[in-house]
Amino acid sequence: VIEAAVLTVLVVLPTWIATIRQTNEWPFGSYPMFSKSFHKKRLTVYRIAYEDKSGRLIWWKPHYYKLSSIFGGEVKRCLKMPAPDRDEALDKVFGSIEHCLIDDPSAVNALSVCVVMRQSRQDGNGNWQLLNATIVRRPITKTVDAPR
Amino acid sequence: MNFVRLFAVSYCSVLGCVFATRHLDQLRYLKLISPIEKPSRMFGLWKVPRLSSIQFNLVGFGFLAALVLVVCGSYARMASLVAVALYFLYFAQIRTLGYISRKSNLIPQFLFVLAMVPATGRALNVISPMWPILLLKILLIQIYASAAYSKLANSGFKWGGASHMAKTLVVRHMTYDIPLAFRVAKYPWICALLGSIVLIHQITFPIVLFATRLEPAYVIVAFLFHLSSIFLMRVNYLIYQGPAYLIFAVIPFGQHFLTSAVR
Repeated sequence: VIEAAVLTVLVVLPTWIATIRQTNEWPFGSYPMFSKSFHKKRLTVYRIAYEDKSGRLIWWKPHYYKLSSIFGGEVKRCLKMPAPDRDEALDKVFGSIEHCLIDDPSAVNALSVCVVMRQSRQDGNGNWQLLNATIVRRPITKTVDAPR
Repeated sequence: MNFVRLFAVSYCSVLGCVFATRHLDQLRYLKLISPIEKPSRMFGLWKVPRLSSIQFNLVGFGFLAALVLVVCGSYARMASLVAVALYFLYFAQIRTLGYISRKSNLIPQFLFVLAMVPATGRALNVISPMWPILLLKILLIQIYASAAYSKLANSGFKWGGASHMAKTLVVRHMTYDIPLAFRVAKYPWICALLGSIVLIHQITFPIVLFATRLEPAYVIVAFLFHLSSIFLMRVNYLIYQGPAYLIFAVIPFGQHFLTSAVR
Protein backbone atom coordinates (compact mmCIF):
# COMPACT_ATOMS: atom_id res chain seq x y z
CA VAL A 1 0.00 0.00 0.00
CA ILE A 2 2.81 2.38 0.91
CA GLU A 3 4.64 1.55 -2.31
CA ALA A 4 1.50 2.27 -4.35
CA ALA A 5 0.79 5.51 -2.50
CA VAL A 6 4.34 6.84 -2.86
CA LEU A 7 4.46 6.00 -6.56
CA THR A 8 1.06 7.59 -7.15
CA VAL A 9 2.16 10.82 -5.45
CA LEU A 10 5.41 10.81 -7.44
CA VAL A 11 3.81 10.53 -10.87
CA VAL A 12 0.27 11.91 -10.47
CA LEU A 13 0.79 14.97 -8.29
CA PRO A 14 3.32 16.82 -10.54
CA THR A 15 0.89 16.79 -13.47
CA TRP A 16 -1.85 18.35 -11.33
CA ILE A 17 0.50 20.98 -9.91
CA ALA A 18 1.49 21.88 -13.49
CA THR A 19 -2.16 21.82 -14.58
CA ILE A 20 -3.36 24.15 -11.85
CA ARG A 21 -0.39 26.49 -12.33
CA GLN A 22 -0.81 26.16 -16.15
CA THR A 23 2.90 25.49 -16.59
CA ASN A 24 4.92 22.94 -18.50
CA GLU A 25 7.56 21.13 -16.47
CA TRP A 26 8.36 18.44 -19.00
CA PRO A 27 7.44 15.59 -18.81
CA PHE A 28 4.74 16.87 -16.45
CA GLY A 29 2.65 19.61 -17.92
CA SER A 30 -0.74 21.12 -18.42
CA TYR A 31 -2.70 20.66 -21.64
CA PRO A 32 -4.05 24.15 -22.35
CA MET A 33 -4.12 23.88 -26.16
CA PHE A 34 -7.13 25.57 -27.75
CA SER A 35 -8.60 26.25 -24.31
CA LYS A 36 -8.52 30.06 -24.35
CA SER A 37 -11.51 32.11 -25.47
CA PHE A 38 -11.34 34.24 -28.59
CA HIS A 39 -12.16 37.77 -27.45
CA LYS A 40 -11.42 39.71 -30.64
CA LYS A 41 -13.82 39.74 -33.57
CA ARG A 42 -10.97 39.22 -36.03
CA LEU A 43 -8.88 36.09 -35.65
CA THR A 44 -5.21 36.75 -36.41
CA VAL A 45 -2.26 34.50 -37.11
CA TYR A 46 1.24 35.30 -38.38
CA ARG A 47 2.37 32.99 -41.12
CA ILE A 48 5.61 32.56 -43.03
CA ALA A 49 5.64 32.75 -46.82
CA TYR A 50 8.32 33.25 -49.45
CA GLU A 51 8.58 34.98 -52.79
CA ASP A 52 9.93 33.16 -55.81
CA LYS A 53 11.68 34.60 -58.89
CA SER A 54 8.42 35.74 -60.45
CA GLY A 55 7.45 37.63 -57.29
CA ARG A 56 4.70 35.18 -56.40
CA LEU A 57 3.94 34.80 -52.71
CA ILE A 58 3.91 31.13 -51.69
CA TRP A 59 3.01 29.79 -48.24
CA TRP A 60 5.93 28.00 -46.64
CA LYS A 61 4.77 24.45 -45.84
CA PRO A 62 7.78 22.70 -44.33
CA HIS A 63 7.89 18.95 -43.76
CA TYR A 64 8.07 19.76 -40.03
CA TYR A 65 4.89 21.76 -40.31
CA LYS A 66 4.97 23.20 -36.79
CA LEU A 67 8.04 25.30 -37.66
CA SER A 68 5.88 27.68 -39.64
CA SER A 69 3.64 28.46 -36.66
CA ILE A 70 6.57 28.51 -34.21
CA PHE A 71 8.32 31.18 -36.26
CA GLY A 72 5.05 33.02 -36.88
CA GLY A 73 4.51 33.17 -33.11
CA GLU A 74 8.07 34.38 -32.56
CA VAL A 75 7.64 37.18 -35.09
CA LYS A 76 4.42 38.21 -33.35
CA ARG A 77 6.28 38.32 -30.02
CA CYS A 78 9.11 40.38 -31.56
CA LEU A 79 6.70 42.92 -33.06
CA LYS A 80 5.41 43.75 -29.59
CA MET A 81 8.92 44.69 -28.36
CA PRO A 82 10.27 48.27 -28.24
CA ALA A 83 12.22 49.36 -31.34
CA PRO A 84 15.93 48.59 -30.65
CA ASP A 85 15.25 45.20 -29.08
CA ARG A 86 12.68 44.38 -31.73
CA ASP A 87 15.10 44.74 -34.67
CA GLU A 88 17.69 42.55 -33.02
CA ALA A 89 15.11 39.90 -32.09
CA LEU A 90 13.62 39.97 -35.60
CA ASP A 91 17.08 39.50 -37.14
CA LYS A 92 17.54 36.40 -35.01
CA VAL A 93 14.15 34.95 -35.94
CA PHE A 94 14.67 35.64 -39.65
CA GLY A 95 18.09 33.98 -39.41
CA SER A 96 16.39 30.88 -38.03
CA ILE A 97 13.66 30.97 -40.68
CA GLU A 98 16.25 31.26 -43.43
CA HIS A 99 18.23 28.39 -41.95
CA CYS A 100 15.18 26.12 -42.11
CA LEU A 101 13.90 27.45 -45.43
CA ILE A 102 17.18 26.78 -47.22
CA ASP A 103 17.01 23.17 -46.04
CA ASP A 104 13.50 22.74 -47.46
CA PRO A 105 13.49 21.25 -50.98
CA SER A 106 9.98 22.59 -51.64
CA ALA A 107 11.25 26.16 -51.15
CA VAL A 108 14.12 25.86 -53.60
CA ASN A 109 13.08 28.97 -55.55
CA ALA A 110 12.70 31.21 -52.52
CA LEU A 111 14.27 34.65 -52.93
CA SER A 112 12.80 36.43 -49.93
CA VAL A 113 11.00 35.56 -46.71
CA CYS A 114 7.72 37.26 -45.85
CA VAL A 115 5.68 37.35 -42.68
CA VAL A 116 2.01 37.57 -43.54
CA MET A 117 -0.62 38.69 -41.05
CA ARG A 118 -3.64 36.49 -41.77
CA GLN A 119 -6.94 37.66 -40.41
CA SER A 120 -10.42 36.27 -40.66
CA ARG A 121 -13.79 37.77 -39.96
CA GLN A 122 -17.31 36.44 -40.20
CA ASP A 123 -19.82 38.28 -42.36
CA GLY A 124 -23.54 38.62 -41.61
CA ASN A 125 -24.29 35.29 -43.30
CA GLY A 126 -21.83 33.42 -41.11
CA ASN A 127 -19.25 32.99 -43.88
CA TRP A 128 -15.60 33.41 -42.98
CA GLN A 129 -13.48 35.81 -45.02
CA LEU A 130 -9.70 35.57 -44.99
CA LEU A 131 -7.51 38.66 -45.39
CA ASN A 132 -3.74 38.56 -45.92
CA ALA A 133 -1.28 41.43 -45.43
CA THR A 134 2.49 41.10 -45.79
CA ILE A 135 3.99 42.94 -42.82
CA VAL A 136 7.69 42.07 -43.07
CA ARG A 137 9.70 41.12 -46.14
CA ARG A 138 13.38 40.25 -46.15
CA PRO A 139 15.57 38.98 -48.98
CA ILE A 140 17.33 35.69 -48.38
CA THR A 141 20.99 36.42 -47.73
CA LYS A 142 22.49 33.00 -47.09
CA THR A 143 24.08 31.14 -49.95
CA VAL A 144 23.96 27.41 -50.31
CA ASP A 145 27.03 25.43 -51.22
CA ALA A 146 25.36 22.09 -51.81
CA PRO A 147 22.62 21.71 -54.41
CA ARG A 148 19.25 22.36 -52.73
CA MET B 1 -1.88 -13.92 -14.54
CA ASN B 2 0.78 -11.18 -14.44
CA PHE B 3 -1.03 -8.34 -16.20
CA VAL B 4 1.76 -5.88 -15.40
CA ARG B 5 4.29 -8.04 -17.25
CA LEU B 6 1.84 -8.53 -20.11
CA PHE B 7 1.41 -4.78 -20.40
CA ALA B 8 5.17 -4.13 -20.16
CA VAL B 9 5.79 -6.57 -23.02
CA SER B 10 3.05 -5.22 -25.28
CA TYR B 11 3.71 -1.53 -24.51
CA CYS B 12 7.48 -1.72 -25.01
CA SER B 13 7.06 -3.81 -28.20
CA VAL B 14 4.72 -1.32 -29.83
CA LEU B 15 6.65 1.71 -28.54
CA GLY B 16 9.89 0.20 -29.82
CA CYS B 17 8.41 -0.34 -33.30
CA VAL B 18 7.03 3.21 -33.40
CA PHE B 19 10.34 4.63 -32.21
CA ALA B 20 12.38 2.62 -34.72
CA THR B 21 10.24 3.77 -37.65
CA ARG B 22 10.43 7.43 -36.53
CA HIS B 23 14.11 7.67 -35.65
CA LEU B 24 15.36 8.83 -39.06
CA ASP B 25 12.75 11.57 -39.25
CA GLN B 26 13.70 12.64 -35.74
CA LEU B 27 17.40 12.61 -36.63
CA ARG B 28 16.70 14.87 -39.62
CA TYR B 29 14.82 17.25 -37.36
CA LEU B 30 17.72 17.30 -34.91
CA LYS B 31 20.15 18.21 -37.70
CA LEU B 32 17.85 21.01 -38.84
CA ILE B 33 17.04 22.47 -35.46
CA SER B 34 20.24 21.99 -33.43
CA PRO B 35 21.99 25.21 -34.62
CA ILE B 36 18.99 27.37 -33.69
CA GLU B 37 17.40 25.78 -30.64
CA LYS B 38 18.54 24.54 -27.23
CA PRO B 39 17.35 21.22 -25.77
CA SER B 40 14.39 21.36 -23.39
CA ARG B 41 14.91 21.52 -19.63
CA MET B 42 14.09 18.42 -17.63
CA PHE B 43 11.24 19.12 -15.17
CA GLY B 44 11.56 22.73 -16.34
CA LEU B 45 14.73 23.01 -14.22
CA TRP B 46 17.72 21.04 -15.40
CA LYS B 47 19.55 21.60 -18.65
CA VAL B 48 19.97 18.60 -20.92
CA PRO B 49 23.22 18.64 -22.97
CA ARG B 50 23.03 19.06 -26.75
CA LEU B 51 23.84 15.83 -28.57
CA SER B 52 25.66 15.48 -31.87
CA SER B 53 24.07 13.33 -34.58
CA ILE B 54 26.28 10.38 -33.65
CA GLN B 55 25.44 10.71 -29.95
CA PHE B 56 21.77 11.04 -30.86
CA ASN B 57 21.96 7.79 -32.82
CA LEU B 58 23.72 6.03 -29.94
CA VAL B 59 21.23 7.24 -27.35
CA GLY B 60 18.37 6.23 -29.66
CA PHE B 61 19.89 2.78 -30.08
CA GLY B 62 20.30 2.52 -26.31
CA PHE B 63 16.67 3.49 -25.75
CA LEU B 64 15.52 0.87 -28.25
CA ALA B 65 17.82 -1.78 -26.73
CA ALA B 66 16.41 -1.01 -23.26
CA LEU B 67 12.87 -1.50 -24.58
CA VAL B 68 13.92 -4.82 -26.14
CA LEU B 69 15.37 -5.94 -22.79
CA VAL B 70 12.08 -5.11 -21.06
CA VAL B 71 10.25 -7.20 -23.67
CA CYS B 72 12.68 -10.11 -23.29
CA GLY B 73 12.46 -9.96 -19.52
CA SER B 74 16.17 -9.78 -18.86
CA TYR B 75 16.82 -7.15 -16.18
CA ALA B 76 13.44 -5.73 -17.21
CA ARG B 77 13.07 -3.23 -14.35
CA MET B 78 16.63 -1.94 -14.66
CA ALA B 79 16.20 -1.67 -18.44
CA SER B 80 13.00 0.28 -17.94
CA LEU B 81 14.81 2.73 -15.66
CA VAL B 82 17.64 3.11 -18.17
CA ALA B 83 15.02 3.78 -20.86
CA VAL B 84 13.63 6.64 -18.72
CA ALA B 85 17.08 8.25 -18.48
CA LEU B 86 17.71 7.85 -22.21
CA TYR B 87 14.24 9.20 -23.00
CA PHE B 88 15.18 12.52 -21.37
CA LEU B 89 18.48 12.70 -23.21
CA TYR B 90 16.96 11.84 -26.61
CA PHE B 91 13.60 13.57 -26.61
CA ALA B 92 14.87 16.81 -25.03
CA GLN B 93 16.73 17.43 -28.31
CA ILE B 94 13.62 17.41 -30.47
CA ARG B 95 10.79 18.45 -28.18
CA THR B 96 9.40 21.05 -30.61
CA LEU B 97 8.74 18.39 -33.23
CA GLY B 98 4.99 18.32 -33.89
CA TYR B 99 4.29 14.73 -32.89
CA ILE B 100 6.58 14.82 -29.83
CA SER B 101 5.77 18.06 -28.04
CA ARG B 102 3.62 16.96 -25.02
CA LYS B 103 2.61 13.81 -26.92
CA SER B 104 5.52 11.78 -25.56
CA ASN B 105 5.06 12.87 -21.93
CA LEU B 106 3.53 9.56 -20.91
CA ILE B 107 6.54 7.50 -22.02
CA PRO B 108 8.84 8.29 -19.05
CA GLN B 109 5.91 8.19 -16.63
CA PHE B 110 4.85 4.72 -17.80
CA LEU B 111 8.41 3.38 -17.92
CA PHE B 112 9.16 4.76 -14.46
CA VAL B 113 6.10 3.03 -12.98
CA LEU B 114 7.07 -0.22 -14.71
CA ALA B 115 10.60 0.09 -13.34
CA MET B 116 9.32 0.55 -9.79
CA VAL B 117 6.89 -2.38 -9.83
CA PRO B 118 8.45 -5.81 -9.04
CA ALA B 119 5.82 -7.60 -11.18
CA THR B 120 7.42 -6.12 -14.34
CA GLY B 121 10.36 -8.49 -13.99
CA ARG B 122 8.40 -11.61 -13.01
CA ALA B 123 7.00 -14.41 -15.15
CA LEU B 124 3.61 -14.18 -16.88
CA ASN B 125 2.10 -16.97 -14.75
CA VAL B 126 2.72 -15.15 -11.47
CA ILE B 127 -0.28 -13.32 -10.02
CA SER B 128 0.40 -9.59 -10.05
CA PRO B 129 -1.20 -6.83 -7.99
CA MET B 130 -3.76 -4.74 -9.88
CA TRP B 131 -2.80 -1.32 -8.52
CA PRO B 132 -0.02 -0.71 -11.11
CA ILE B 133 -2.58 -1.22 -13.89
CA LEU B 134 -4.94 1.22 -12.16
CA LEU B 135 -2.11 3.74 -11.70
CA LEU B 136 -1.16 3.54 -15.38
CA LYS B 137 -4.81 4.09 -16.32
CA ILE B 138 -4.90 7.14 -14.04
CA LEU B 139 -1.79 8.55 -15.76
CA LEU B 140 -3.43 8.25 -19.17
CA ILE B 141 -6.83 9.52 -18.07
CA GLN B 142 -5.41 12.51 -16.21
CA ILE B 143 -4.21 13.94 -19.52
CA TYR B 144 -7.85 14.29 -20.58
CA ALA B 145 -8.89 15.51 -17.15
CA SER B 146 -6.06 18.06 -17.21
CA ALA B 147 -7.15 19.25 -20.68
CA ALA B 148 -10.74 19.55 -19.42
CA TYR B 149 -9.56 21.56 -16.40
CA SER B 150 -7.68 23.99 -18.69
CA LYS B 151 -10.72 24.40 -20.93
CA LEU B 152 -13.07 25.09 -18.04
CA ALA B 153 -10.57 27.37 -16.27
CA ASN B 154 -9.90 29.45 -19.39
CA SER B 155 -13.26 29.46 -21.17
CA GLY B 156 -15.85 27.78 -18.97
CA PHE B 157 -18.58 25.63 -20.49
CA LYS B 158 -18.71 28.05 -23.44
CA TRP B 159 -15.79 26.01 -24.80
CA GLY B 160 -18.23 23.32 -25.89
CA GLY B 161 -20.31 25.76 -27.94
CA ALA B 162 -20.33 26.17 -31.70
CA SER B 163 -18.54 29.53 -31.75
CA HIS B 164 -15.37 28.44 -29.95
CA MET B 165 -14.93 25.29 -32.02
CA ALA B 166 -15.59 27.16 -35.29
CA LYS B 167 -13.00 29.81 -34.44
CA THR B 168 -10.46 27.16 -33.43
CA LEU B 169 -10.95 25.37 -36.76
CA VAL B 170 -10.63 28.62 -38.72
CA VAL B 171 -7.40 29.48 -36.91
CA ARG B 172 -6.00 26.03 -37.67
CA HIS B 173 -6.91 26.48 -41.34
CA MET B 174 -5.30 29.91 -41.39
CA THR B 175 -2.14 28.43 -39.88
CA TYR B 176 -1.79 25.14 -41.74
CA ASP B 177 -4.18 25.21 -44.74
CA ILE B 178 -6.72 22.58 -43.71
CA PRO B 179 -9.67 23.03 -46.11
CA LEU B 180 -11.73 20.37 -44.29
CA ALA B 181 -11.48 22.34 -41.04
CA PHE B 182 -12.53 25.53 -42.83
CA ARG B 183 -15.51 23.72 -44.35
CA VAL B 184 -16.59 22.22 -41.03
CA ALA B 185 -16.32 25.66 -39.37
CA LYS B 186 -19.20 26.85 -41.60
CA TYR B 187 -21.63 24.43 -39.92
CA PRO B 188 -22.45 25.58 -36.37
CA TRP B 189 -24.31 22.38 -35.50
CA ILE B 190 -21.29 20.21 -36.36
CA CYS B 191 -19.02 22.53 -34.35
CA ALA B 192 -21.37 22.44 -31.36
CA LEU B 193 -21.59 18.66 -31.58
CA LEU B 194 -17.80 18.24 -31.77
CA GLY B 195 -17.14 20.75 -28.98
CA SER B 196 -19.68 19.30 -26.59
CA ILE B 197 -18.61 15.68 -27.22
CA VAL B 198 -14.96 16.57 -26.59
CA LEU B 199 -15.75 18.50 -23.40
CA ILE B 200 -18.10 15.87 -21.97
CA HIS B 201 -15.66 13.08 -22.86
CA GLN B 202 -12.71 14.81 -21.21
CA ILE B 203 -14.60 15.83 -18.07
CA THR B 204 -16.15 12.41 -17.50
CA PHE B 205 -13.27 10.15 -18.60
CA PRO B 206 -12.22 9.43 -14.94
CA ILE B 207 -15.57 7.64 -14.51
CA VAL B 208 -14.06 4.57 -16.21
CA LEU B 209 -11.83 4.05 -13.16
CA PHE B 210 -14.97 3.08 -11.26
CA ALA B 211 -17.20 1.83 -14.08
CA THR B 212 -14.91 -0.40 -16.10
CA ARG B 213 -17.77 -1.47 -18.38
CA LEU B 214 -17.66 2.00 -19.90
CA GLU B 215 -13.98 1.65 -20.85
CA PRO B 216 -14.50 0.45 -24.45
CA ALA B 217 -16.89 3.30 -25.22
CA TYR B 218 -14.54 5.94 -23.77
CA VAL B 219 -11.50 4.49 -25.51
CA ILE B 220 -13.32 4.42 -28.87
CA VAL B 221 -14.39 8.06 -28.43
CA ALA B 222 -10.81 8.97 -27.48
CA PHE B 223 -9.52 7.36 -30.68
CA LEU B 224 -12.14 9.12 -32.77
CA PHE B 225 -11.21 12.38 -31.04
CA HIS B 226 -7.54 11.91 -31.89
CA LEU B 227 -8.35 10.91 -35.47
CA SER B 228 -10.49 14.01 -35.95
CA SER B 229 -7.68 16.09 -34.39
CA ILE B 230 -5.30 14.77 -37.03
CA PHE B 231 -7.62 15.61 -39.94
CA LEU B 232 -9.11 18.85 -38.62
CA MET B 233 -6.26 20.33 -36.60
CA ARG B 234 -3.02 18.61 -37.61
CA VAL B 235 -2.47 17.49 -34.04
CA ASN B 236 -1.27 13.90 -33.82
CA TYR B 237 -1.28 12.32 -30.37
CA LEU B 238 -1.59 8.76 -31.65
CA ILE B 239 2.04 8.20 -32.63
CA TYR B 240 3.63 8.30 -29.18
CA GLN B 241 0.58 8.26 -26.94
CA GLY B 242 -1.22 5.53 -28.90
CA PRO B 243 0.72 2.60 -27.35
CA ALA B 244 -0.43 3.70 -23.88
CA TYR B 245 -4.00 2.69 -24.78
CA LEU B 246 -2.90 -0.95 -24.52
CA ILE B 247 -3.47 -0.51 -20.79
CA PHE B 248 -7.19 -0.83 -21.46
CA ALA B 249 -6.72 -3.97 -23.58
CA VAL B 250 -4.34 -5.90 -21.38
CA ILE B 251 -6.85 -7.31 -18.82
CA PRO B 252 -9.61 -8.39 -21.26
CA PHE B 253 -7.01 -9.79 -23.67
CA GLY B 254 -5.15 -11.65 -20.93
CA GLN B 255 -8.32 -13.07 -19.42
CA HIS B 256 -9.76 -14.27 -22.73
CA PHE B 257 -6.71 -15.59 -24.55
CA LEU B 258 -3.82 -16.18 -22.19
CA THR B 259 -5.08 -17.26 -18.77
CA SER B 260 -5.29 -20.96 -19.64
CA ALA B 261 -2.11 -20.87 -21.72
CA VAL B 262 0.17 -19.53 -18.96
CA ARG B 263 -1.01 -21.98 -16.24
